[in-house]
Amino acid sequence: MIGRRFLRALRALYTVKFAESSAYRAQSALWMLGGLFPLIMWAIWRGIGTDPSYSQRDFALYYLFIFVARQFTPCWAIFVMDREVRKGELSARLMRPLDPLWNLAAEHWGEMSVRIPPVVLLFVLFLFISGYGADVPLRQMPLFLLGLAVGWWLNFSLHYCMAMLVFWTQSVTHFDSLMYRLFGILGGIFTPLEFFPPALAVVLHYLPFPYVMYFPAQLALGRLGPAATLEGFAIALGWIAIFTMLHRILWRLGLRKFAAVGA
Amino acid sequence: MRIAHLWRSAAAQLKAELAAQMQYRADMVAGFVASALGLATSILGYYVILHRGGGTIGGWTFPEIVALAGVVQMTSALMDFWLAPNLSAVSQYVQRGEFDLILIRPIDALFAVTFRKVGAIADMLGFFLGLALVAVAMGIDRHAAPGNILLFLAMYGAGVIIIYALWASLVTLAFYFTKIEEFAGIFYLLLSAGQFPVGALPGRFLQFLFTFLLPVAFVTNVPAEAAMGRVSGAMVAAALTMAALLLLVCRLAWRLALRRYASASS
Repeated sequence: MIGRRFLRALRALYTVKFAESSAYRAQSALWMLGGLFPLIMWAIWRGIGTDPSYSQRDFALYYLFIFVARQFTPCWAIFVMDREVRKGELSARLMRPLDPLWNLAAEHWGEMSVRIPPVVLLFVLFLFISGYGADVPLRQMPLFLLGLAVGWWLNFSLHYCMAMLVFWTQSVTHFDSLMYRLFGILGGIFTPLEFFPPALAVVLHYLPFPYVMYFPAQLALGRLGPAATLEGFAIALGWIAIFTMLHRILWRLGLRKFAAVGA
Repeated sequence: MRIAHLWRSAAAQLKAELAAQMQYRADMVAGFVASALGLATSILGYYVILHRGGGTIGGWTFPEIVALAGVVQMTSALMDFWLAPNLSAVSQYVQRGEFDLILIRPIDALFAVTFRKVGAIADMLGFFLGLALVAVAMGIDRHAAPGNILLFLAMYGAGVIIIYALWASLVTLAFYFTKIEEFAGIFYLLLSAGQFPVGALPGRFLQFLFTFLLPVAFVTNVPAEAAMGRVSGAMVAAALTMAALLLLVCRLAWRLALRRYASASS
């Protein structure tokens, strides 16, 4: 019973958010421009030349999939929470019978849905330019999409944890720039993570950063065996569990503090 | 006389804004940590690329790349602290008719728009972090001569004028299309392209594109080259010409746009 009502509410939310995102398509397009950075990195690596472990073909496909992964794992939870808590808009949300988390999640799904056509178009265009169109491992695509979904979820839980800190600090926007900069390098946009010094690569393997963009891209390229694939998903899901628990606790503690401010 | 008054009022506004921001100390610290950590990881990233690329990127050595990272950090901080808060607001002024309030003042409209707001203090701290990095790079390669320092400052100034003029010209589109936001993304993308020597890009076309059409080479590459004593006279002249030209275009664009502005109520 409750499950069905919940799903209906979620669907209604999604429909609204999708409509909102479509209304501001021009804005989405400008937002997406910033996401072209992986393609610049591809150009840089083309200039540097081949590498024993990455051929020109590998670089091209790697960066095209990183580009797609980045477009479909965005998160602006920190900005929304920052605004809603500071301006007290959260009070109105709390009146609704649904956790604000779902409202925020639906907002992201709406925006991502609007992005599907342009991202696919750009992907195909650049694939054509690269000349490696025939080399896309189509068999890996279901695994890539699964990795992308997990990656988005991981990124969202991590950002949501950070966003919860707003109850104590009143302003959190710089935590977003911190995440943005860390993911730029440790998430695999600057360089494929295999190129890191081995000691660092081992540590990184157990951190959440690689599992948002790098891991899905590796899945797409078919560079991981079954064991490594399973291990990757296990680590990602483990982090999701940790962050989810954490943001639930922070939410409960923070709300008490928020009510205290408003009352 | 009038200019002095302008600056005094701008300084007073800045002081009040900074005092307000001191209320949010945790976020400020996070911002500074973000800059420092971001800089450290990007140097790690450069190191990895250098290692794979046989010791140089597009012919630039490690200290030269460090200087480049410093310049990029300075510019990114300046964009966060100064350009984005002021110029991103123009679309909103036009939409809500708030531009009237700027026009009725006896101050040049472009000037008023340019120095109205400031971003977070943490971003300003990031600027000095970048400057320190440039100084360290100059020290390592023993380029810290007065000539180089002056040339670096001049070229950095030209770079800032170029990115400012481009941005300020582009926001005049708000007068024609009313709702133009999120332009900032374009400039952050440009800057992220400027994280690398333009010479490292494959092909003449891309190199030409990022030097003259999207002139990010003048914003990041040339100042870093100036600091490290490897800039050519031709590039210095080109940078200065580009800055002057774009500033002129920007003034012209604003004059045309203001003629278009019809206020919200009329």
